[in-house]
Amino acid sequence: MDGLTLLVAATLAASLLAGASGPAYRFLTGGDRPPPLGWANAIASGLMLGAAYALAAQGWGDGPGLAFGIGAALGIAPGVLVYERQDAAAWDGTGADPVNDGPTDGYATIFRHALHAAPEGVALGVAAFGDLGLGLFLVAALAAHNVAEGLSLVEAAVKSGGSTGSGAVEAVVSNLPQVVFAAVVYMGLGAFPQAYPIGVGFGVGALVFLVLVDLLPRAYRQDGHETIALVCALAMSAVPLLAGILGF
Amino acid sequence: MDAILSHPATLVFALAGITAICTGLGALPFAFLKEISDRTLSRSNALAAGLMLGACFGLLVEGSHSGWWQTLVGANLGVAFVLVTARLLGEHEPEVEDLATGDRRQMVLILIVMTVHSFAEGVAVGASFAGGIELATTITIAIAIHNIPEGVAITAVLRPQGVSIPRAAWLSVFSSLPQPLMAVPAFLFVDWFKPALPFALGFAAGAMVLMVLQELLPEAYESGRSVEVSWIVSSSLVAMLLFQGLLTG
Repeated sequence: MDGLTLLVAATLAASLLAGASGPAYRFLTGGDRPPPLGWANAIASGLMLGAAYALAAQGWGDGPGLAFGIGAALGIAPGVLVYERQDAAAWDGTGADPVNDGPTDGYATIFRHALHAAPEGVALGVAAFGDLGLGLFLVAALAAHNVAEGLSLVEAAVKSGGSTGSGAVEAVVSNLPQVVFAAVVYMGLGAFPQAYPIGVGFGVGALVFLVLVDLLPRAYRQDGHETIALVCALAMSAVPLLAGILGF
Repeated sequence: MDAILSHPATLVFALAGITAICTGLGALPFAFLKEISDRTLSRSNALAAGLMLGACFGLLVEGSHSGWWQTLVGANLGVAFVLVTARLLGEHEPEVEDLATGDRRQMVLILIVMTVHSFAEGVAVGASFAGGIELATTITIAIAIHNIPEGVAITAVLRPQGVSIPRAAWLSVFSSLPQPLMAVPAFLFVDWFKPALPFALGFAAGAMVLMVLQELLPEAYESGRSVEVSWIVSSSLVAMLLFQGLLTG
């Protein structure tokens, strides 16, 4: 099996695994307990930051240069534009949380999560192009993150009268861009390998920005900063730990 | 006296001392800021958070070269250190006021974390002299320049609390004093210190990460908009990565 097929198969499996957020939600809430969304977001944040560090370390090579910087700026800028256009109050802790507090529009929620999945897919494609082993390892890390992130979609679906199943389907659908972007970036870098440093910068910038603009602020609101800081730091250290064990 | 001045350890001490003084230069840009509003506080914390997260990356990469699992063990010890220190500071608030002009636990915590992390950098400087004067000069210059944005990070937290520029500069230099103090024994007993280096670098990184996650980011979000905080943190993190890449490349 060639690298691209492996990457697509693994990324597709990771997206489908987001469907496990439905049963996970039922198990964690047990009927009337609130879901541990803060912890889930903190774990997702830590894994993504760890993945960003792993990706940067892979692309470190002779030292990040101008291309890395340009890539990072390109990875951060779209997120800034998209989130600036949203209702700022909804995202900065002074207003309602569109996922957890207010009435939700299913398509908007899927769209927002798909926005996450796209740069994640780019990061996966870049990592796999540099080292297939590291790419597949990051797929596994993001699979765990997909389940954690899927919990908030299931919660939103349940709050708006839907079922955990419909939320789980939304979680799977919103993660499919990961597969597309990972494959396109992997093939694109195969054709233009000189763009690899830009790709590394893009992946690092986009992952870090998404954690900071969305996951962490929500996690802080949901469970307080002391708990979240610790959970996020431990999740972050899990990535280099496993990468070290596996020899990446 | 001549024997002391001509001893190689004196040169190590002097060069490591210069790296510490460079940290104070990080306070200078804040002389151009007239007002410290809530938004400035948020931006300052975001800037400090990004620079520290970027610095952590360099520490982790450097530590991993000597041993990845030792670096990770050190990182988790660093996390535990900040948790315990923050808890202790919370219980002894009056001591916080004695240490600086402000009354913020955060100021003391960042000074402790940055001072502790300087021990690791001091060991790195001292140990590098065992590898020859060329390597040592390169690493010393790199750490001296790298200290400037660390001074920016420290002042970014101190200044909004009303600490004056000269005092912030002095406290920044103070936070780097372990560098000359540790460089000399690390140089003299390099074989003993080298195995401890990945633990020390990991410890510094872990402590800084938790400091950022537990103190700086929540405060930045609280007093500013998350989109602005996010792009400042992301950009300064990337800038620090580029800066370190430039120095080590």
